[in-house]
Amino acid sequence: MMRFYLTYFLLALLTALPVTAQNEAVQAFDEGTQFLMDGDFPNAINAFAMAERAGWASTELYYNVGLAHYRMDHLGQAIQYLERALLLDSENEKVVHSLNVARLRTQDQFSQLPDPFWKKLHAWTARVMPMRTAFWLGISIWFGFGALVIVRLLFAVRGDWWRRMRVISGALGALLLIHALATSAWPPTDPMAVILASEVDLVEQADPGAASVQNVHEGLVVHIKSRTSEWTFIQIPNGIRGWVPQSVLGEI
Amino acid sequence: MREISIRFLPFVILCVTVGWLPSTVRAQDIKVQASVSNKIIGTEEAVTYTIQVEGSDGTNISVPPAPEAEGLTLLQSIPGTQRSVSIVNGVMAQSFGFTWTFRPTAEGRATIGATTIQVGDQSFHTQPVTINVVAQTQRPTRQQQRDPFSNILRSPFDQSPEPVAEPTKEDIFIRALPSSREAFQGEQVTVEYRLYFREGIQLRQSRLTDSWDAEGFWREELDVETRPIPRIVVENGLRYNTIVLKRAAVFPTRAGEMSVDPLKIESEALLPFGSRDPFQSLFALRTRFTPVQLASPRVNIDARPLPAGAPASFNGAVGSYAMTVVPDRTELQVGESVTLTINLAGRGNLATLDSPKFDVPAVFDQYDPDVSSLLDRAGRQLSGSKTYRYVLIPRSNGTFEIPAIEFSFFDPVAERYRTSTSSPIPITVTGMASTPAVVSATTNGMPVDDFAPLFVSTTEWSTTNRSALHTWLWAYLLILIPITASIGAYVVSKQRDRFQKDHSWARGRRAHPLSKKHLKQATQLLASGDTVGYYEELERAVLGFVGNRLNVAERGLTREGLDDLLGKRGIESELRDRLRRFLDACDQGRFAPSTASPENKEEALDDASILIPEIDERVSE
Repeated sequence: MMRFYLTYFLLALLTALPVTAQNEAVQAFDEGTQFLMDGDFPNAINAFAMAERAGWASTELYYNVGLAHYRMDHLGQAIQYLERALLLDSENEKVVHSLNVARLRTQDQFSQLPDPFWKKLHAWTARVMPMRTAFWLGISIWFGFGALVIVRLLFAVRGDWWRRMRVISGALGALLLIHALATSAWPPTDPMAVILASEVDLVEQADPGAASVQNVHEGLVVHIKSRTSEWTFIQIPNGIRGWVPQSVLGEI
Repeated sequence: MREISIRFLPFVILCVTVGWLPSTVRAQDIKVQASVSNKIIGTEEAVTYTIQVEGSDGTNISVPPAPEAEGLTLLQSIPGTQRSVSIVNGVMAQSFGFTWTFRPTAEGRATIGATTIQVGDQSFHTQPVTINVVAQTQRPTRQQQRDPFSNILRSPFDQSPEPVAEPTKEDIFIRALPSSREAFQGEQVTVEYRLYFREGIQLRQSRLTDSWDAEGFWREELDVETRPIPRIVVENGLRYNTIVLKRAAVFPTRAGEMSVDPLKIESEALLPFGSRDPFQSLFALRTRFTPVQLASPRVNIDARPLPAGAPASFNGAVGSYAMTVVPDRTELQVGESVTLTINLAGRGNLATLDSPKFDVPAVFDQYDPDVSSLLDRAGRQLSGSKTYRYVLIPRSNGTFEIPAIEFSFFDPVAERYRTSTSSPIPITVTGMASTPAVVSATTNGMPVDDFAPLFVSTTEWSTTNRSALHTWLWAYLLILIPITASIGAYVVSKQRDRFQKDHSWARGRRAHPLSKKHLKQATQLLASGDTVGYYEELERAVLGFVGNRLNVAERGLTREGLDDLLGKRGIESELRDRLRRFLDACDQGRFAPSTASPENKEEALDDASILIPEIDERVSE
């Protein structure tokens, strides 16, 4: 009996932990929103940061953080959080509209380097079939395929329909699982970041004295190619690459 | 008294005017110029030499002596005189002239020497004038028909057209006078087009023919007199009237050698010389105007690039400017507007002047500026002011600061960049934030040029501590489960098939379990005291095992048959003997149970337990 109660208590504790953390995030979000409505932007940002530290995020949280930064004239951080919000909900009208407004204030308007077709295809499949959806759907179909194989082996169930089901479920399940794992290991886009400094030079090497390649300004969204402990190798939208200090970047 | 005043008023005005006039004349500078009617004359032509004294009415001028001449003969020693008065912009200008007429003595170079003229207590010296005398045949016809009596002697039946005098390039021309041949990119160069025409030439119906252009320049017209009064100038010893046709400010838009197109005009000119009729000038209806086409030379300007080292706020302005930044108020309510006026005044190309860039705090909605310009085109330098009015509307309360605004321009005179910087402007905004009145305009429910309203609640939370899927061990274990299960099912099905098809193998696989089962039953029978049943189970366990392993029916198998069979499978005689003794012991126990002691029973069980694995080992070999 004692063992039963102990197990019950541990299970209840494990289940309650995430709920408690989420409640903390909700509470911090509400506080931050109230600060934001009162025009107290620094405190709003602090409250929203507590929600983030609790390990939870949402489109609305990121949007409100971006709005607070925008009101404080922190254009880089505003775009950083709006881009994060867009990653969670790419069709949110408020986010899309506000991000366009923020982008209009950026100084750099580079032309966009077109992606090769395989990258476009990869991004399209990742958009149509998100990674985790693909994984769980693939696992379900894969288990179905396993069950069909076992039935075939143990109960000698034969017939064309069963064979087709086995082939289709096996191929489909494997494809979905490969897609999910490949998308996780090799995302369709490089990690992205936003320039937070008002102005910075891309340099040829990870060295403060290296020659400048391009001058960029706050709010520009860049692709991260590689990094060292203090420097990051980035690519700007028109394809030009160079090194910038890690401290001037805000990862999305 | 009043009547007297009115009666004497014209007299007073006249006195004042007369008293004022000499002072105006006195104020003028005396200028003496010597000129001739023509620099090239034929051997049968005369030339008029004129000394013009500007700024004098002739009352204080001593008649100068006739100048000495070389290659010319003076026709009269007493000079002719002429006086002219003009009023330009309310200022009276007077001039007095002395003229002498000379005739050439021979072909070649002739010179009228310098002379001295006394104006009041000042002496002025003229410069010698050189004239080229050519054969009369080299002169145009109009110059050969200067004989006033030729018309009388002319036959009344002579219907040939009267020769028309045509002006030469020396008689009428246009000059393009740039203020400079070199300039910085964006610097103003003033190009003035002046028409020069000899005294006595009349012009009418003048008009521009082609559109004037200046590729590579920004162009601005400057004001010129619409009804110009000709000014008399002496060029190369000849007297000309000159007027300004056009004045333009051009700004090079790029560096390099560029040119301004010629200015072309068409006109009709009447020359005072060349008619056979000496009375022609008395009758205007008889005069004949000649069409003339004139063009100025092309103006080449070398535009230099702006020097390096431009400040960050420089956006291409060249000239001389002053900037003022003024807000219409510094305290306001949320939703009210403040107008920030940036005024740039000075000299330069104001039309292309851009507003200085500046950032206002994000709480302000900033609208496109209202731009107005005021250009002063009088004079030779384009100047004026350009005003940008920015409307700013705060969306939130608080104290904010419009940062200092910088405007940089290149000063071509000093050849350096200059920067004008305004002071930061504090703005205090009171009232409640996020009132609906703040959003002045919306599109599809979204505010124009501003963020959408905040979210007050969250619909879906997601954890940020999630690791990447491909690093998740459970993902791979989940994938392996169906594979492992399928492999297991395959193995099971294969074994089942073999059990069904391979009896020998199946009995071999069953030998051990069955023998164990019989041994277990034997142990139970021993405990229950059933000696006969005990030995039967022991014998069944061993013989059953041997039969299954060798795939033979143990029923009906004699001891000799068993021994032969084991011998053929290579089992040594010692083991076969022990097996025989065991079976004999089992037979004795079954048929004479009372003779079996507990020790015998234990020994038989031990033997069975040892024999089974030994036989299995030997058979497997």
